[in-house]
Amino acid sequence: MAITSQDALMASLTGGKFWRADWNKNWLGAAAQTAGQWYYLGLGNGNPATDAVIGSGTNLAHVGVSDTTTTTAATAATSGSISGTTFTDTTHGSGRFTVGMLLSGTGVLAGTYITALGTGTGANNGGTYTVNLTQTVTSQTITGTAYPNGIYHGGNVNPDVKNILNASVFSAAATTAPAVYMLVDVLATYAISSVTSTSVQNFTGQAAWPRYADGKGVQAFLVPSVVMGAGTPTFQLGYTNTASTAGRLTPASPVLPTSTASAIVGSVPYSGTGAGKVGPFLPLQTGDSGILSVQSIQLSATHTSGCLNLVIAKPLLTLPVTTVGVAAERDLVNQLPSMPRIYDGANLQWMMYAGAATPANSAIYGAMDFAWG
Amino acid sequence: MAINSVKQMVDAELEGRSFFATWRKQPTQTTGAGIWFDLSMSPGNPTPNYYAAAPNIAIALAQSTDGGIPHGGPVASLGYKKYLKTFTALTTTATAVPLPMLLCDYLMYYPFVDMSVTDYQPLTTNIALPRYPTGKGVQIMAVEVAGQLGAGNPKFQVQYTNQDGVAGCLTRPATCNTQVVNGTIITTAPNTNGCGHPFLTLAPGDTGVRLIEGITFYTADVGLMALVLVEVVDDHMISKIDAPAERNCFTDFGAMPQIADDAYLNLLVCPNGTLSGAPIHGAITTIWG
Repeated sequence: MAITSQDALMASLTGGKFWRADWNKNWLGAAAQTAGQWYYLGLGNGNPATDAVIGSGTNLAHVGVSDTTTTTAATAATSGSISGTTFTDTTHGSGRFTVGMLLSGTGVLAGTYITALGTGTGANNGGTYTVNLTQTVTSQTITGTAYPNGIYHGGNVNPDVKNILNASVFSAAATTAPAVYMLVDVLATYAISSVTSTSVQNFTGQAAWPRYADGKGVQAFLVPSVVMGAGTPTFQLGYTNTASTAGRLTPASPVLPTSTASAIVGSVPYSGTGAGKVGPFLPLQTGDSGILSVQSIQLSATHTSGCLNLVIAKPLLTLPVTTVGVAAERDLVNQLPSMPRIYDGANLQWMMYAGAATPANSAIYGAMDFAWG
Repeated sequence: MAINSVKQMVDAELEGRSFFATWRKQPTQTTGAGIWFDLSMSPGNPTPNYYAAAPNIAIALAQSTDGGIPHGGPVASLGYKKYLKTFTALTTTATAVPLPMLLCDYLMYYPFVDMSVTDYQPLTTNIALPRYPTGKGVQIMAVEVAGQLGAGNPKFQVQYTNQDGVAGCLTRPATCNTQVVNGTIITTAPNTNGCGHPFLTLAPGDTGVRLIEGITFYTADVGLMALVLVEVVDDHMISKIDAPAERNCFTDFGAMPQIADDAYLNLLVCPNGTLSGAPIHGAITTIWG
């Protein structure tokens, strides 16, 4: 089925096949956002909460993502503790701890989650993390659970077909405009903690994308979940295109995407202004319009430290914001007839292009309407 | 029944199954830029709501008993469903705009929650949600009803039962602003870390709230708040002072939000400056079939 007429749309709206989603996110908290750069707002605070799945996987391993996906990390047996608001991963067990992960274990207060990285980078022995609740937990196994925390869009509707009807964004915070917001459905992620390697690094555990399995329109971007160190390597992605042609590479001409030293969590490190800056997505080889699968990543030089993440996503719509305090509203039925489709399990997140230097944690509000039939 | 086609919508109008209501609010409070404010507490028409009842015990809000913006009487018993068709708003006060607005169905509230107590405060719920009974889509907002200080931006966390009936869920810790006027949504401020959301951030995976079980403040302040459960119906914005902002929900935005029987409708706004003395006018049209 599908909505194929104005009457069908009205029948869906009035028949309960409708969901309104209000969301409130903060721009990223690590530092002011730089004019001309792209950011992944899923890693910002707000409502819904931080996407904690990004960065939580094993190095180079495929993690398919849907709205109900969870991943875990754990300390080794009897080697995790909390004192005050500091969680210490004395001996690491499995997975990678990320900001936003809910912690559990004997005596751990309900609702405890990681609010910031200390010396911890996800999987290092002795790493510390700040948690939200003050408590004392003696040494034991502590497990973190990560949720993607995408914007809820009304649940699964198959065999009906769900569409976005309209979207809006505004902010009253200073210098949050101009900006461009892009809604994406995040399909998969690969943590890349081996950022000092300059070899071709192969991804593991490959599986089909959970949605858009044919790869049409599917794109990839990189984003740090741990602040990057010095170094400005270029990136080259090896992938298979939608025609199942393997061995495709990010084109080296005119220049490969070039990273930014000390790129903050949530930034797209090769976006911005200047030579080698593109964005938000890694360029594809000439003639390619999507990614069926990814095989490898190569950094041209060491990034010294940090954790990058390759994120696979399908862009759904863009929404330019021209003026602080004025809502950018887009009617996707009448104004720009497109009604982007939302598949069951979609993990909806916002990316954002900063048109001006913007203070960290600036609040943004928005809403979307969905209907299915 | 429901309105299932454009013809049925026209027929509903022709047969008188529609309702037009105006509203006019004029706050006396000095509001802050970028800080959400609950217009239901302001003077004007409909008459103010002060969230006054026995402390910590849930009280329902309804059009028939409490007022709010009128939207026509109950229609479910006639076999109809009611929808928001148009939403208009204007102001002539420059400090108010741009003025984002949320039209909400206020479902129930927990009055006079003490902000000076750091122990867990259990809240009592002897009633079910009057509308949206599962709680799906229902959000929590914290409204200041007796002036806080806000020094150090105190944090608090609310325990609730979610839309699936799961008890013991916890919001993310919410941060208070430093705004001291009644009607302030106390968790909003444009430049305070962790502060900026009219609704509390729910636990991962939760999409709504069926009831609130309790609240814990991490640091003591003074003042009182009401915890209010609302369902957002529609959003709108007044951009300028020289023209009404008009919205036809269907033809402009491909949506017709449903309005439940006996809904208590009122408005949240996010001003660009003070709303003190600023008249804010508007109208809604509803239709049913």
